[in-house]
Amino acid sequence: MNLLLRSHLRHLWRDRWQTLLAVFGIAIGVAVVLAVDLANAASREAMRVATQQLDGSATHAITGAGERLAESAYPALRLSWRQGDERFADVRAMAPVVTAEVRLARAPEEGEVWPMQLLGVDPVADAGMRATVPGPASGAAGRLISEPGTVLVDVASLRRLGIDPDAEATLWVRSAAGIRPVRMIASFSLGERALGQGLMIADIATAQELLDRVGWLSRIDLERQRAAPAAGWAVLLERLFPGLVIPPPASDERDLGGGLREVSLAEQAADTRALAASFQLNLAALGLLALLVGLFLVHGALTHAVMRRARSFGRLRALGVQAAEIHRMVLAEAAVMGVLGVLAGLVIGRWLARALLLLVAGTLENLYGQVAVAALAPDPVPMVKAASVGIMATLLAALPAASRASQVAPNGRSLGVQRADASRRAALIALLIVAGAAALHPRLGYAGGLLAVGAVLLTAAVLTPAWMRTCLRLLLDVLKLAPLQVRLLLRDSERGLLRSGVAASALVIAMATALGMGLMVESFRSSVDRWLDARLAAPLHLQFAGEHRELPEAVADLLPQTVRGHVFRVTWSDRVGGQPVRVSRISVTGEVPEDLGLAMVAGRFGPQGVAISEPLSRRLQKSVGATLSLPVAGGALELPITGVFREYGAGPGLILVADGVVAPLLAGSAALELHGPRGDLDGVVKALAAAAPEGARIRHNEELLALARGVFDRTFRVTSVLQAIAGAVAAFGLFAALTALGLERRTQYGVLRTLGVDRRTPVLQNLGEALLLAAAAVLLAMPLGVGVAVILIEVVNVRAFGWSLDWQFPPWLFLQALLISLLAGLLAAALPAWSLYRATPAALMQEVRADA
Amino acid sequence: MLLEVQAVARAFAQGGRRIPVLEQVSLELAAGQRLTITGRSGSGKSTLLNLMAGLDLPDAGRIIWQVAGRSWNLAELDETTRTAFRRRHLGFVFQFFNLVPTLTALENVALLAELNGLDDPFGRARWRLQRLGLGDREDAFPDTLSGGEQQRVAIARALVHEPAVILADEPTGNLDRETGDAVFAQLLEVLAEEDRALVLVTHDPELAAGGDAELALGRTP
Ligand SMILES: Nc1ncnc2c1ncn2[C@@H]1O[C@H](COP(=O)(O)OP(=O)(O)OP(=O)(O)O)[C@@H](O)[C@H]1O
Ligand SMILES: [Mg+2]
Repeated sequence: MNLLLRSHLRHLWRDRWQTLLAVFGIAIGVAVVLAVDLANAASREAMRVATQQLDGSATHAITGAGERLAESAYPALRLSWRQGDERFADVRAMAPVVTAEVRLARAPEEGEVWPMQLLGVDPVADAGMRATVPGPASGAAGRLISEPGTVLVDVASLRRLGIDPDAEATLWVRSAAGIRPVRMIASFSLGERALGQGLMIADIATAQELLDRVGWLSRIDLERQRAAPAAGWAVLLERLFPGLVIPPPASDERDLGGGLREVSLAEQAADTRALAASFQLNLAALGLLALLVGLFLVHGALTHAVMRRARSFGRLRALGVQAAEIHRMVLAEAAVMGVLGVLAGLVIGRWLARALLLLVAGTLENLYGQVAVAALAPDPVPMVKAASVGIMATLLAALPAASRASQVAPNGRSLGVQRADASRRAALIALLIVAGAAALHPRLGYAGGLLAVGAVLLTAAVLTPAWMRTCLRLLLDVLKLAPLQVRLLLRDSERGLLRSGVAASALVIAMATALGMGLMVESFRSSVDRWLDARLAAPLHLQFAGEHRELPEAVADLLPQTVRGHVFRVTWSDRVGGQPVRVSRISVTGEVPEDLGLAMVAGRFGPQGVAISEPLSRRLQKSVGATLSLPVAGGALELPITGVFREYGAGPGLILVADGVVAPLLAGSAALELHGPRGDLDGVVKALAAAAPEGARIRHNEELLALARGVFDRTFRVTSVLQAIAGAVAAFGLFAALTALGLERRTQYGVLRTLGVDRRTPVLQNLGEALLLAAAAVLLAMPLGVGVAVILIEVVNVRAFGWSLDWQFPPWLFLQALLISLLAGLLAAALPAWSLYRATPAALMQEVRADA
Repeated sequence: MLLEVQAVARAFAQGGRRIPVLEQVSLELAAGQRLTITGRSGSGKSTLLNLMAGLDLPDAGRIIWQVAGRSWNLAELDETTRTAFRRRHLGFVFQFFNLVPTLTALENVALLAELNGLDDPFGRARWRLQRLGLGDREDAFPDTLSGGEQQRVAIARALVHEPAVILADEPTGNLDRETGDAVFAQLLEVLAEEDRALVLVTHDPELAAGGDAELALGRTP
């Protein structure tokens, strides 16, 4: 081996703890990037597989208002297709479907249930469209058709419930329509990839009966030939940056007359995936943040390694080694660290991904009602991506150190304090600010917002060392008369910034992010709280089983004596302007809160038109005054938008229409809010329970509030986990820096101890330095954190989810940031301080000799 | 007697073996006298100096100082008391000067006065530096001083708190002959004037000559 290289590698080995810390920094960064990618890819794959199982080779679907159509429409459509109707010229198959989400249990009373998608099909018409549906000639298909109440269930779901998949069994299905028994006659396998929601297949008639939808279909699936496969580069881009490219909202809708329309299934699926994508992109951004923090560790460690060897570089230069050779050697050294870090990172990453996947999947299920758990795929793309990002980032972080090493003069002894070029730094900051501002351009969407956050954080990193120096100098000026030991602490800290400044940058980044996210989450929490409180103001809520158009009479008769006011909603799903929506028809009786307790962004909820949720308003780019075309049986109604209200669900947009606008439109799930109970609540509950039809559930608002808040908390768990990782990496960086400084200063402490300074002093110096750095870091992180929060709240949230939030600045959050940072500082300093405390002066002096 | 070293022994464990460095070493030092310790490299000179300073403890034997009307048996004192003793009554000059790089010349000297809680530490430090001819370099940081200047600052530091004795381990070992001699002459001059004792470790025969007593350490057969 090249002798120069050998000498460099020996240096790495001699400084192995510092090397190890740097390698660890790279590893954690790479691991988080990989884990986020793998977890995101797995949950997206699960969604894709779930869609694939439901849709098979179907490309389009015909449906009507409320995502349903009368069964009688099917024979007519099928006939016109068979007779060569040109609208269906390239259709290869046409099959009716009844589908809904249900839950499967072993016994009617059993607590343990498993979520399933019920798919009612016509095995004959379906022939080959879905791999999971048995062929028309098979025995299973024959039994599904001829025996009412028979179903097929996937093996994994049966195993989950502890049911033998090879024997027939009676199971219970819970749906909006109530609890009904079914006969499981056979099972089928869905393969390894989808482990979330199960699939249950039945004949159309069985499904209709289970769901109380006799006479109705959910849709008619079409398999058209013309669907073009996605371009190769688009597929690659999607795999490299899942969720970065969000397809434009579906607009490919065709009106078939009679209230029927044809929609593209691919785009419908893309829609829901796009929603999940904004969440996933946020995660990916956090992953990159962890890498960024890791990079600062590498940068710090390498700069330190190079500084320690300045003299030996000088000797090498004197012996005739070229500056370029030294440059290359330092980069080679970094590459060695990079490779080690990447290898470790890939291993840790896969392990981390598994943990992350559960959190991500849980959040996506809560947010979007998506099936999101799948096995991690052995996909090389994210691995290669994480590996190359790790190596490139390491080399990038090593460049400044390499160029400084190569600038050591022959026989020189130091790198020469690189006069912090103020003008160059100012230019860099200006550049970052301009780039950040440019990223906020509306056309860049919420990804632009995340870029702007990145610009703020990088600004923080560039500012940090100068900021620290300023703080310490200021203190030195203020503490002119302080004991020399205090001044010594300040001077040493300032001198140590060459090593610790980079670690401090990482700490500032982590703290600013934590604070920004914290402010955002708090603002979010309080907005959601206020919104929930208003929305769930009614003390009692009654959810009816099955589908309804009107308030059941027995309940309606009872209400005037039991409550002062009530709101009755009938809700169904639909699509408006290509966007999935939930439409509620609202009847208000008696005294209820103004605007139904909705937090209005604009306008009001009125009897003349519709009120829509804020996210929908942004997606449709329509607000008060515009008209909205609402599908109803047999056509569509053009209705004015009278109000826009806040809504923090991430699912479909909401449309509220007063029942005065039109007579009952469609049947749907029905719910009743009861305001102002007369007499005691228990009495009201009893009376209602007696009068309500079977299957109705009465719930107190506390219960619903707790549920909703639980969803909220789970949503932010992933974010806080990633944040904690970035914070821990930063604390680790500080630890590495302080350890290095502790080692460097052993000589000095040895001398001081010999002169009669007691053993507590080095400890206090070390702890004091850590606390000073941590405090200064937090001071800088505070305004930057607010900046991050502004962008997250005003740009990212609005653009990604359509949510506007009320600002919150809880003082405890700032205090918490300060305490966490100080604690991180103390922890980081504890070990080096302890080792100094234990060292005897003689041992320290030993190193004085070795050092000289 | 200022210092009595009685039958001191010290051995170090090395690779599982105990290597005796000092065996049955005894000596005495009276106030204001100069003791020179000589010997080959590795003979235990620095080890003995460390024992005298209470930086290390002997395996056997006693080291007793009599300063300020009090007797200090180093082996019987705890670390804190030994440190306090060292801080108050001993002065050190090292071969590599070992100034604190982040303190100025003046501050380096004032540090010990301040540590000992003496009044007007900066005044004392300034006076010491002036006596050694460094009045104009007070605000310089060590890395801008020459080796000779650094060692003179170190001597000022060793004297600022008026210790009874100075321990010097090869004080001129890192200076050229001429500068070394000049600095050493200055040190002797001050010590003679103020009647302070000196323990000098050296293998320079010229420096070794002229002391009140000499201890030659050699490997015991
Ligand atoms: N802490 C220690 N652990 C192990 N061995 C030690 C230790 N301190 C000193 N020694 C050994 O004791 C012996 C004497 O060391 P010492 O430093 O006292 O020598 P010296 O006479 O000062 O030499 P020099 O003239 O080279 O400075 C040496 O062999 C050294 O290796
Ligand atoms: Mg020695």
